[in-house]
Amino acid sequence: MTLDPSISFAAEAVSRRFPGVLAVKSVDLAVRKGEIHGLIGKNGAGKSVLVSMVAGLLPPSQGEIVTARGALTPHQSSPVRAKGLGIALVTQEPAFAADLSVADNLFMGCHPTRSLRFVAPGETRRRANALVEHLGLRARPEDRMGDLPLETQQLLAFGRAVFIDAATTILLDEITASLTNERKESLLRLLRTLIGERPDLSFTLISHHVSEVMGFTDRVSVMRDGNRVATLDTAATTAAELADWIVGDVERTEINYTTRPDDTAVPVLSVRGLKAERSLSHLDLDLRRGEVVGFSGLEGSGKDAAIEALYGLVPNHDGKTLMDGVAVKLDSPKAAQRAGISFLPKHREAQAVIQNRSVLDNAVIAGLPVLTTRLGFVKRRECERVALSIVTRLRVKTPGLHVPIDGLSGGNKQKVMLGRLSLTAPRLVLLNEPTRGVDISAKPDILKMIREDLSRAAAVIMISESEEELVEICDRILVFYKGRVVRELIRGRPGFDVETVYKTIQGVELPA
Amino acid sequence: MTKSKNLLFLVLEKHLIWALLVLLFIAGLAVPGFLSVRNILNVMWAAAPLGCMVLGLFFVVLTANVDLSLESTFALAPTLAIVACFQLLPLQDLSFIAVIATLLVGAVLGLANGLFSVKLRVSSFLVTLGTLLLMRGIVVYLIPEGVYYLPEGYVYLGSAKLFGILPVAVLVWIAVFILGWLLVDYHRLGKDILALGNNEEAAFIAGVSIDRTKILCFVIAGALAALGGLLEVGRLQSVVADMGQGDILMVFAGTILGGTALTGGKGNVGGVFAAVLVIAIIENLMNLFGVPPSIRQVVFGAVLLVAIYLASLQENLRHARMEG
Repeated sequence: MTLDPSISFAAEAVSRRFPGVLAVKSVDLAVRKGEIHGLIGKNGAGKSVLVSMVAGLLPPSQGEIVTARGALTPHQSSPVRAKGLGIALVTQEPAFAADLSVADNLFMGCHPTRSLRFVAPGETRRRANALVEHLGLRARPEDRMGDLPLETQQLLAFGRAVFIDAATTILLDEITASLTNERKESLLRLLRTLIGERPDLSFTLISHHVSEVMGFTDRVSVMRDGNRVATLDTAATTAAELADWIVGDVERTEINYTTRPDDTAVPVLSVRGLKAERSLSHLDLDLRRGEVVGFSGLEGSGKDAAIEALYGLVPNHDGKTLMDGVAVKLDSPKAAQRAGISFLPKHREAQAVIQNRSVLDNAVIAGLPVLTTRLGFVKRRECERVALSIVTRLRVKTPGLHVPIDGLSGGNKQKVMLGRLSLTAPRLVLLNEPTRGVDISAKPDILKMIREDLSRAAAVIMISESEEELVEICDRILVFYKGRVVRELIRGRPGFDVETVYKTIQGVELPA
Repeated sequence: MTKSKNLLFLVLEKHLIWALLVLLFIAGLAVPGFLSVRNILNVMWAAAPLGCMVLGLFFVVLTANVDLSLESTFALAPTLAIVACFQLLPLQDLSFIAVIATLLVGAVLGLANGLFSVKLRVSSFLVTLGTLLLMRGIVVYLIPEGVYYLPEGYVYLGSAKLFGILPVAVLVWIAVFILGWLLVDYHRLGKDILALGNNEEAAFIAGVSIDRTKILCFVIAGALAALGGLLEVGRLQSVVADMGQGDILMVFAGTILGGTALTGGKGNVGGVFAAVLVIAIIENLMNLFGVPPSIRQVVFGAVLLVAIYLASLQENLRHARMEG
């Protein structure tokens, strides 16, 4: 196979299949030497999976990644091989050993050695120092990596890829997310300088942010639903045009509304001036029974902090919270539960599912306070009845109540998690990405259940990375940007559509 | 003021175990008979076999594994070498072969543990729990009565004294610790071990051979346990079936007391060396105080608990300094 010498790397008909999902669908992509190439798309569009394949972290199911020095194929792919081809990936959370020194991390796996493989500390130090200076960082080679700010760690990871691995194909996965604006600008300027010095370098910049891609890339490729839908010359493109490519045509299925917010009653939840740590600076909110309110925003926009503060997971938050007109102090999950709040965490496997236990145990755990006798013994019959009703009502596909939950699919597990939320008859239900990691076939059931079941007796707040979902089932959508709600979109009024939500979360100014 | 405070923090933070050692030493000064060259050397002599095992476990724990079977290797390696070289073969006059055989047997036993747990992905705790029992069983089967007459050459390392006072075993012990220190701090192997123990995924992505490095640590541990056994056999001039039985707990105490994190990737050879001395001095002081054997274990357990608590403060101190 011959490769055009001006190409840094090329993905050729690359696909990646996961159980039940085709995450990347026969993608062709060529990044040229000397270019900064943007790769943009929504969450789940397949860009991270594509990048992982280029870096050798995941073998492609089909197709191959070709460089001048060789290829990564379905049968021959590993991080070490990718490194040998001159490919390096810098991720949002750098893969470092926190307890080791800066120098040991930079030279991990490639320490310069003398005879008998004894290392050369002098040389390590010198080169580490040179790297730190080149990047203008404040760190010493002997500093413990874990003690440095994340920003510094990230730039060190970048430095390792460029100066120590001497990679020529450098993939930057969302690394600008945790940088200050000033740093971001200087890093992006540095990319240009480096390309000036070494014209065979290429940078692939994976980003959510339309503005960054617009300002700093030569070309940009857009991923949507596992396909590369466009590659554009950045100079000839506008931000709005790019956003259109990212969102694409929207299809939606109508949901049957059986509940309507009751506008006359006292709000279930009133929040005034809620403030949580650094990420949420201000939130006012009134929520009525029967209402589903969506929180939308980028990572770090304050939407997660808001929902976590309401469930008492952020102990030091300021502001007034009233439930049914009564002031409550939500400083712990226990307090939140007592106030009648239920919570579905974002990371299902780590934070919600009890592994190795049966479907039954998982279904009833939240309801145990009402499912036990006065002496604390569990009412078995009652539990079975409750679990069975969850399984049948939500159409959970399981061979039985007494099988371990581990064997169920993500979507069916999530149905059990959602079903158990209502056991304690909550007044307010908080859902953090209820459709995360759920197969497509289960999504409609889950959305229907949120809209038609949960909101019947309670008010619902829901975070979702999918603007389509929010538009489909919410009565209102609050858009968070930099710690505040910048826009409230109401069903039936102008602007209640995917495009507006997507543009507003990016901070794009739109006429109200 | 802040400078001296910082220095104090630094000493306590990095070298708390040494501070503890000094403290014990000072306490010892009040005890008649403690501070004499003879007594100190005897303390170190008795500590040498344990010290070798602790260093061995240290390597394994750095990779976030454990090897419970070291105390059995401690007995089985010399036993196999003695049975093979002196009972089956007539090598009494060539006992250096038996010494080398001991170390090789230890390395092979370690290799077996390593292959089993790393290649077959079985928890090292379970694998070595099995080999702990299995290997002890073989010792009891081979030498139920023990062996009491051993060639001089075989017991030399464990029993001989240079200039009539300096036990060779102490020199051996110090030598392996210096070697260990060089390996961990100045060798690619040490860099690889610390990297994979700290963040296996990062190490893998950086191109460190994960499996080979882990197995190598088991091999080193096996060989060091065998060396410890060799020194113990020499010191006692005999080998008995229950030699080292139950010692693994003390080996763990030494490793952890020395500041080694059971989660892997964190620890230093100096700390482990000091920890072995701490254990040995506690034992010695109890002897000198004449603590009755019946409650010795109670005292020892209590002292160890306090010492381990103090050593655990290290992490808190670090946080305190980072914040203050």
